[in-house]
Amino acid sequence: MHGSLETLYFLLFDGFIWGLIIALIALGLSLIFGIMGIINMAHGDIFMIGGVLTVVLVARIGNLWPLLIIIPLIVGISALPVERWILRPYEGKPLTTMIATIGISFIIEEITLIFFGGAAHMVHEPTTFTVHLLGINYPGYNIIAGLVSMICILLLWSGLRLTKIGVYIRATIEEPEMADAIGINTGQIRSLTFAAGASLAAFGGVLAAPIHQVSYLMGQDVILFCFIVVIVGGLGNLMGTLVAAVFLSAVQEGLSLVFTPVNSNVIILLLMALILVIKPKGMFSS
Amino acid sequence: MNKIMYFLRMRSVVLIIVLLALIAVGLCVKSSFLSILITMITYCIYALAYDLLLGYANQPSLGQSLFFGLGAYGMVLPIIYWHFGFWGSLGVALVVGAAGGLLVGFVAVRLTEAYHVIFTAVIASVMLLLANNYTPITGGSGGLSFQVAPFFSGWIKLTVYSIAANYFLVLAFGVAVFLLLTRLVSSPLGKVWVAIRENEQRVVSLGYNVYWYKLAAFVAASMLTALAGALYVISLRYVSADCFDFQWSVLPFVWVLIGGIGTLIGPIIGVVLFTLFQFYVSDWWSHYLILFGVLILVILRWAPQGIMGYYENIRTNKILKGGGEHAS
Repeated sequence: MHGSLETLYFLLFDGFIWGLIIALIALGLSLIFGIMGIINMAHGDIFMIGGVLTVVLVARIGNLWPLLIIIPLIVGISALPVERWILRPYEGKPLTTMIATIGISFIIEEITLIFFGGAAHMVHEPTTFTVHLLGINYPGYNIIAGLVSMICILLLWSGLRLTKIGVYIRATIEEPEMADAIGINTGQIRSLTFAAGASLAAFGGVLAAPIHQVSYLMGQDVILFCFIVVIVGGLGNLMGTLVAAVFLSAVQEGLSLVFTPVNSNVIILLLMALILVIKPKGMFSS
Repeated sequence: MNKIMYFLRMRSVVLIIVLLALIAVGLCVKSSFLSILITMITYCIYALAYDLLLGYANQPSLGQSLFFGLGAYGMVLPIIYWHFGFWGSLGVALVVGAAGGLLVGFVAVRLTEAYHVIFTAVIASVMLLLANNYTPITGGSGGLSFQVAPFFSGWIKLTVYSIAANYFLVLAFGVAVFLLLTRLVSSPLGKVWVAIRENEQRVVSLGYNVYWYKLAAFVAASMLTALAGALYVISLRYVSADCFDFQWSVLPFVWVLIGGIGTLIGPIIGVVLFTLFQFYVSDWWSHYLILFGVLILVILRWAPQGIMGYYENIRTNKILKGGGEHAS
């Protein structure tokens, strides 16, 4: 019995770490919805681009760490024209944005398939040490990845709380018309938020590359889980998204002790449906 | 008023001509062309079901693949395991589709648009995972093939192994669904759906229980989608977990979008055009999904009302230019 309890702790911890990476992606999704009303179906593919670029660039550079800055920058800048020239007219219409981003997602996936191929790749962990944790040798990289995402989330949080742009962003989420009226350039805020959300997903992709298999379809499982997370946490509710990401990921890992991954997905889904029956706007809505 | 009656009469004349042409094609042509038509008519039923849901009852579901797959497996599994006949398993498929619609609709109908879209999409995706996982039952992505015993429809003995018989069976269902929906959208129930689409708050304040009306639309659409799924696999004599694929949730939206949301002719035009596109382009280029994506963006940008919307605009302009007497 002791052994299985230890395994449970281990799984919960592992789920917690993965939940932090998921939180990065889901926060981007939630932020983009909160500001623009865009349900970004291509968000998982942006995460995938982060992973794929990591595979390609690690082979060139030989080191993962600088990519944590370079790739999110590249992805964020390339996301700017997509928001401005493709998605801008549909903002605020969830279904239309979802269909448009599905179109974008098809394009991204197929182009990646052409240039990157269909095979799954793996990036070697940049650190080799392991931590003796709860009786199991836990790969040190996972702990570092968890710490890095935690720092990133803290930076995002303090950026939203303490900087001027953060105040503008929060104002645009809560009172878009009022924000416009008092002279905030909401157009720029939208572009910036979309780029920031895309960068967060790409950042998650780089971090996940040594943990998760990298292929052109890797975004699809992740986006499914992220959507459950943002629904449970509440669309546009950043704190709720963060809590839901870590909580649901830990629950899912814990369930995998007893159930197969697919069955634990189903249980998470039922949990989501139950929460929606009680609170149709997410767990943390008033 | 005369002009409007004239257009209505024109429409039914055109429809009868199209129907006669379809029957003539079924009698004369004996090539692979019929199988494209079978696919198209099946898709038409699917598109009409989705248009009922989105265009009339204003519920943007993105999880219709769930009901398509339920219809497909609801049809096939009784045939394989319990040796049901055609009508018996079709009944099972419809009941399963409606039950699934009731369960999902129970939660989904009261959600706001964004939550509705995501919730339905997530449920359908999890169902795809399940179908791919439980291969002993579903056959996974490898699929199952099966035999359909000949069956009586009225006094004629039909076998779907004759492509003409298959064609007329599907055509009969297609026409029945079209007539049913034409009747339904002009019935009091259909009027309430349109009223909910136009102004939900006002319908609530008029004392209607909006929840039940929306749920009714959701269940009706699920059932018709299950019918489309059942006919689809019957014509293929093969079913696989791909019936739950996310693409099956995107396609009905694209069909309805191309043709025009909120009309009964629009979805049919959308299906015909898009199926031809899919058929020839996927033949020619294996990465045709790129073009599919570009096409979605192009339509959204330049023809958000679809072909019927474009046509209606021209017609309205003509009537308005002709004078004010048709304003009522």
